[in-house]
Amino acid sequence: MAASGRGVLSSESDSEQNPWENQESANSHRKTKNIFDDDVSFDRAKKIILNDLKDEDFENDIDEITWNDEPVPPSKTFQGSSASSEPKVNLDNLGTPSYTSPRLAASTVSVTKNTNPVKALLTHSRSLSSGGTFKPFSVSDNLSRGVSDPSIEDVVQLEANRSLGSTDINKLQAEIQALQRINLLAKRDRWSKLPVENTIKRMLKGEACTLEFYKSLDDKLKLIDESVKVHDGNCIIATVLFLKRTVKASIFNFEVSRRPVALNHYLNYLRTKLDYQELSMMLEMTGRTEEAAMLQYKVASNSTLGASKTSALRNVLRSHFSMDQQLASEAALVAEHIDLLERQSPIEESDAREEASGRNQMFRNIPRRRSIFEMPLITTLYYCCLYHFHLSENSLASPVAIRKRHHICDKQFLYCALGAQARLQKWRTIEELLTTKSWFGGTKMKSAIGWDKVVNILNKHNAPLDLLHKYLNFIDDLELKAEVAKKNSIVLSQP
Amino acid sequence: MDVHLLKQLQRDQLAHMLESEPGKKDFVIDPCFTKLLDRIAGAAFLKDHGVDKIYKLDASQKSLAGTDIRFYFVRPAIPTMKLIANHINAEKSSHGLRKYKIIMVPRKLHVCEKILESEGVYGSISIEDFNLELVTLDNDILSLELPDFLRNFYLDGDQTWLHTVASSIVHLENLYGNIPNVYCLGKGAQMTFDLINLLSEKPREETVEKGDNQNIGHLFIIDRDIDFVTPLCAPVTYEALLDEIYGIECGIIDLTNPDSTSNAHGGKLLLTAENEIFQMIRNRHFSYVFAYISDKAKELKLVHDKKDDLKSVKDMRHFVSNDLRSLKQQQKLLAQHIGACEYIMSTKSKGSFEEFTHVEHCLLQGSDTRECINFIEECLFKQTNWLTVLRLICLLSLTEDGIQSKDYKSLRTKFLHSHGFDLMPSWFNLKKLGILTEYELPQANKPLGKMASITRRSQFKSLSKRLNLVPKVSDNVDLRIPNDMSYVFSGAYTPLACKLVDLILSRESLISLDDVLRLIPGGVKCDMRLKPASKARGGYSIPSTPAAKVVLVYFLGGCTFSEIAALRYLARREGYKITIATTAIITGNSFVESVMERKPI
Repeated sequence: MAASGRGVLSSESDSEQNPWENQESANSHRKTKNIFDDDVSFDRAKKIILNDLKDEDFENDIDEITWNDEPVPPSKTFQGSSASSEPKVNLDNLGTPSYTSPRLAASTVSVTKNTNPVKALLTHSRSLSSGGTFKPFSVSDNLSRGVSDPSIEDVVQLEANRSLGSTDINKLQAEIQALQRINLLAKRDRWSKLPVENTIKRMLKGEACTLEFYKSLDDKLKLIDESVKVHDGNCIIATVLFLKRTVKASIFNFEVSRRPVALNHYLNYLRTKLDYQELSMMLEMTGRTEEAAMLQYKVASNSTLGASKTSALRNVLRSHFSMDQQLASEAALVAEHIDLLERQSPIEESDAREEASGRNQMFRNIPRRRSIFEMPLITTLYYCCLYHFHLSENSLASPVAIRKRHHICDKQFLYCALGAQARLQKWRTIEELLTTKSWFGGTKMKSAIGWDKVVNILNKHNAPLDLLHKYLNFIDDLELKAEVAKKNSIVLSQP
Repeated sequence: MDVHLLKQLQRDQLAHMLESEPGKKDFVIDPCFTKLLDRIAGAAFLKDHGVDKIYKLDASQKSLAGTDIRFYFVRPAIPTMKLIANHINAEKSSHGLRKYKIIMVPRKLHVCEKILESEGVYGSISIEDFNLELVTLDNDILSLELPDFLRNFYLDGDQTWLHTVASSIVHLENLYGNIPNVYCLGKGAQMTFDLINLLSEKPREETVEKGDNQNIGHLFIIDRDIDFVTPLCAPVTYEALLDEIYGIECGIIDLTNPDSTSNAHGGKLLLTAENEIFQMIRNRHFSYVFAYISDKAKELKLVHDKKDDLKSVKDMRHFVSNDLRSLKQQQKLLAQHIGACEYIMSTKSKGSFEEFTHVEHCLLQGSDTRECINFIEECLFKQTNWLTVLRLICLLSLTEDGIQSKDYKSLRTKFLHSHGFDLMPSWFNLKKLGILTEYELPQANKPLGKMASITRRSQFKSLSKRLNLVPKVSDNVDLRIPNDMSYVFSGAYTPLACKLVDLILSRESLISLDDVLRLIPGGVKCDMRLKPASKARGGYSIPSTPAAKVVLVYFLGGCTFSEIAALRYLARREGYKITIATTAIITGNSFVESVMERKPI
């Protein structure tokens, strides 16, 4: 803008760089309008300005004021000639209330004579910003800088002087009246409620609006329903929260639970705010008991540690799961979780002590990688198969006891036991695991999982070759047998 | 439709935003924007526009040092607002005069303003919108980069981001002209279309009828929840595999292998059409990627060998100045792709990939269900990667219209035993989303009302049959030179959304498709205003506009690279220009993880 201003005031050489208009025609047009040229007389200047105003080319007006840093030599011809003051005052009065920024308003008031251009400038900047792409860049800064510069004042005055001529005054006054009417309407609107649809539409477009005038419950509910109709989450939660803030809890709960979409938004708001208490209450109230139970379970299992965690889980089990017939299977799982935690913590305690003392060969051979606490059940089972395989059933760490408590199926148990014992290279134990006594005291090799899987697991732990051969031969399917052999690079003995 | 125009506009917008406060300022960005801003502008661009320091917003920061002006460039989220409020309150005593500007991307939300108000910082800040919506990731991919959309909209029923989707479409229409034909597949899609009509400056009907400045002929808005099967299937095209195994963020991939110590071919790489080698292999079936790479390697070797028979100094100079540089660069790229291929192979062979694929294909065909359940159980016994197993379980539920009660309970118990009881709320979420449901065998004494709710998602099999989504063996899907969209899943399944796009585009009216479209969850609505191409009866024919071949496919809730590959194939086959817009690009794992409550140990 500075460049363009200089172009008009000093010489035409710069005006090609004018960002607003750089066509040749605009250039030549401007040449004739240069009222600051020495050889332009007052009358002629006046005429130029009038023509200019008749064009109502406000865009050009902006170009011609300078907020240049350089002082502008005041043109003596124009000094002292006063313009009609009426429109100026009116314009100022009109302009001020609509300014949103107080800083901006203050600076315009101080530039009392700078009526026309300021208005133009402001409308210009506003139209830009409403476009969405541009921001009102540094308008206020230009203004304040301009005011502090004494030489600008002259220019400002000069600009004010330009609004001469009776036709223009009439025109301006008509415009003023129109604007006054709009202003009045706007003022009245500010203090009365808009139709609900309009308010929602404003919210949808991100324009400022207020909900405070909707005092009746019907209006409030209509606000919510209208928001739901336009599918905008932002509106919905805004209107829901407005209802929450302005009516008593029983009404709010009743109305919101009747509106599933609104309810979802409110619940999600509570979720992101981590307001679990209210969230759980709302879920319960609207019959989403399973979700409420899950929420409570999540909170209990996430936030607390150690002994307090088990007691928190116990509370949740009692208050949210046990009572509900629908949640019987989930309640059983929560109970299992509690039992697992109670099993883990003594095992962890004693094993950590054992390991630290260094007396137990087992922990020296295979050091524990991490605490068993809070590990999944199967990990715990594997751990116990590894370190406590031969414990009697009444011991906490006994794999058999775990199997019994959690109803672990044979397959699962065998996977864990085989893996752990193979890692310990206890081939005898494995043999025992895979042997079942038959009716008449004889023994039989039997596996709950396919023999191919047994071979795979054993081979992973470098079992002796004869053992692998032995188990491999239990595979009936020849094709599968060959495949397993190949995969584990075992040479099959030719029959 | 030149999507790079969008990028240019966003850069300008960013510059304006930065210049709105003169002087040096600090720029604090939401971590989710780091890669995204890199794609639009880059750090140098920010510095050129007065940014002094760039910080990443982090929950551990108590306060920040820096200049007197600070910009926060963030998504409007409650935790973020609290973090910012904490900064401001902590700095009040030391830097009372600092100016704070919070830029909410893509728009400010009521709840965020409320939080700032209640934290008592409203007076020290100014709030601004910055409608950075669709980001250009490639010549044909636009993304909102809103991975939260899926969870928010489909799981929690929160419609906040619909507005952003609608507004992004309105902005596209402002740039490229109104789109005459709009097809909404699913419920969210229809809501989006309603919003588009509300947000458009002028009534759409008028501008569309006028028909000037039309660059796009068709718009598909597609809900993710019409097809959750596709993201659950294991990808086999190169780009999709890269995304699954390494993760591609905003088109940028970090090829540093997570578990290898020596790394010769690591480093970050921008994956777009400009990367010539990548462009050739991105959509290929993985088994035919290596063939191309080795051919290319031989080709490079030939160029390289040229240096041995350079005769004159002139030749030498020509070689050095022209060939050598591109040669070096291509070599490096090739090495990176080879490294990636190797890593993908090793990952896939480690986890009994073939068995998984077999089970997946069985599930899609609906055959040997019992065997599939046994396989899943075995994976649970062995504590195989929980995400992979969970994907299979969901796939089982989706293709079988729910898992029978006995199996459902047993699978759940085994899953929780194997991976931790505290995954129960996550399991519940999958159930709430409708992709993991319990199916109770209807008994004679049960009221019929119960039946209706069970059949909600019973469409997979009938849809798959009607639309031939699972090609028959006789169809002979060629994986090397694709002859069917289903090549993106080794000929086992055609992504539903892509199939629908294909079907609808090939027809001028949807009347013949009515009985199929009725099966789509949420239904299909369309608004067709494009005049049918030259189907003149007697009179003169109306030439179809070039826009009729330009298609925008917008996925709500994200799409996978497999779907993108299928749409690219469709575009090649039919001569369409298809641009894909999405709320985010997802993989099977990121999809399931996004609805989890916590990650298991």
